[in-house]
Amino acid sequence: MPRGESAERAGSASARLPPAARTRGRAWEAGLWWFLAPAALVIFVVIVLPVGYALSLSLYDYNIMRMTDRFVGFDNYLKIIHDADFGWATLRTFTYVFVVIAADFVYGFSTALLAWQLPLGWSRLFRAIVILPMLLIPSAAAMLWRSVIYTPPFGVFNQVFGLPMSFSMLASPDTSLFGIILTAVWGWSPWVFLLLLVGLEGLPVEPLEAAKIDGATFRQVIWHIILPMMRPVIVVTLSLKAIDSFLSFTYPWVMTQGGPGGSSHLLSTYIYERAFALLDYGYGASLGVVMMLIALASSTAFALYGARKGLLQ
Amino acid sequence: MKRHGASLVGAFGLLFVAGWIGIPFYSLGILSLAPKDAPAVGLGLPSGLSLNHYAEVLSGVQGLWPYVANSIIASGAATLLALAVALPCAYGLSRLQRSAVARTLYLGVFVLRMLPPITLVIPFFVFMSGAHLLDTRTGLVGALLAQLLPLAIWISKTFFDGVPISIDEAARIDGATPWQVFVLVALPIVAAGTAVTAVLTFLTAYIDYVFAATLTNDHAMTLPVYIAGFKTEYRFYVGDMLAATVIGTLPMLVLFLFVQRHMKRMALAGIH
Repeated sequence: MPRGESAERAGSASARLPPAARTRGRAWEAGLWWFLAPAALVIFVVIVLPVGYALSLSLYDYNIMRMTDRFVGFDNYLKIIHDADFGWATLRTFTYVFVVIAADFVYGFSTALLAWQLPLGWSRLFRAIVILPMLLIPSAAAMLWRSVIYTPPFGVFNQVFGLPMSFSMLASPDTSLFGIILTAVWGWSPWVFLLLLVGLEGLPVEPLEAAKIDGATFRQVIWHIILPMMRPVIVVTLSLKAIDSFLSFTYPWVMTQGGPGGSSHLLSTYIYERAFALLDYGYGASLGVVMMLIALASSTAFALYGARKGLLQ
Repeated sequence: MKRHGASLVGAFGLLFVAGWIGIPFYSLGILSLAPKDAPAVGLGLPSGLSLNHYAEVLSGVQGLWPYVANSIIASGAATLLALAVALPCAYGLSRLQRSAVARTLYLGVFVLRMLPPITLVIPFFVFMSGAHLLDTRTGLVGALLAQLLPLAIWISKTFFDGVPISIDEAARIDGATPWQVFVLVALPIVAAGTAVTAVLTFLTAYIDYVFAATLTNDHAMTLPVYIAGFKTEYRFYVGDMLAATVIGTLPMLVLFLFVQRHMKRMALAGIH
């Protein structure tokens, strides 16, 4: 018996255990479900209940400014259909997401290639410089660009590009959104850089060496070997980045509050203004619900896609 | 020949990065160090250097200390609470992977991370104004948890996934309960990973703007809201704001250096 017991201990796969031990294993596994209970409880209190409250608020005309608080059913949602500003904000948000991830990818991938190719010591220094913007608090980075880079009398941006000091990027409806995009890319592209660099460093060496021996140019290596091998990393990075940008609030709100004249409103700033500047909580809540549905639909699609492709473990 | 072309493009890239990163940071540094009454300089040099702006935010009437304290206390408390419930949950999800229900719950956690903060902040605000929780650290911690918990579960699970299940089974056969295995076996193995999870969770709370800007306005106000509140349309506040920005960056710098080595692991696991 003692020998049998030690053999049992040595074997790690539960398939090799006698039936009694396997049943114990199943009971043991059932005990693991209790580990999820505290988190489930907290998620219920801080996420499920608030979302439920938002759903209920969205059915009320609850406006502090007009001092109303009455049940109106789906009126708020009907109002959204006719809300042209909301439509524009949605369109602008998708433009913002698309431009930001495109710029992030081009900049992040180029800098990651550079860091990858530089000799080790220089690469370390380069890396440290590229990630600097990420170390600023986002609201502070937004303030730096708003009050120093874009705005006279400092107007660093105007000086660099030879623009007159009478011009301010954020004060013109034609350029305000572009100004925010530039800052958002400046502030958070280092994150894309870091993940893509990690991906590059994880690439197997053999195909790259083989291509070099066969006389492939660097450009060919990038297009035909590196990019295809990096596909999973790129897809995950840019998808997470797209969702982050879709929810983006700090940069647009701190820099322009959606102005001038609503020209830089994204979904989040538009909803924020309706709820907290115009004190229209009921309508704001219904807008928030619609935005949540858009975000959940896209992230569920991504999660399912990722699970199928094995991108998310 | 082709190496030459590549290095030319590389040199151009380096120059671009130097300007793109260097110019804003030069302005940040130089204007935070410029004397109070100096003429406005963007790219130029000021008439002299002084620590006036730093002295102002570190010791002035409207100094940053109360807001730094709020930031650290609220972010720290929210991080501890999030970890306390996220770690067992992540361990459970990691060990129940054979169950389809558990796998679906895990994807659910991923989806929760994508809830717009703006959707949550409206009900939080209305509820807290009724419950007298506005402008309290308690209220802020509760709201932050909504954002931190899914993140903490997500990150720490990747670390538990790295612990071979045979270790669990060995302890189980020795008669250990799930709780004992979690506390005595799994947690010590992922100690470094837990530290990384704690740092990333803390940083997420530390830089939060949307919850703190809405739910606090004075007593519980945090550093990001304080910095965004400077009236920079008056030129002499710009230097103060920039000095506060530099000081606010220091904790992030220290913590980032700490987790930097683990970036690889997290990136490969498909998280940020």
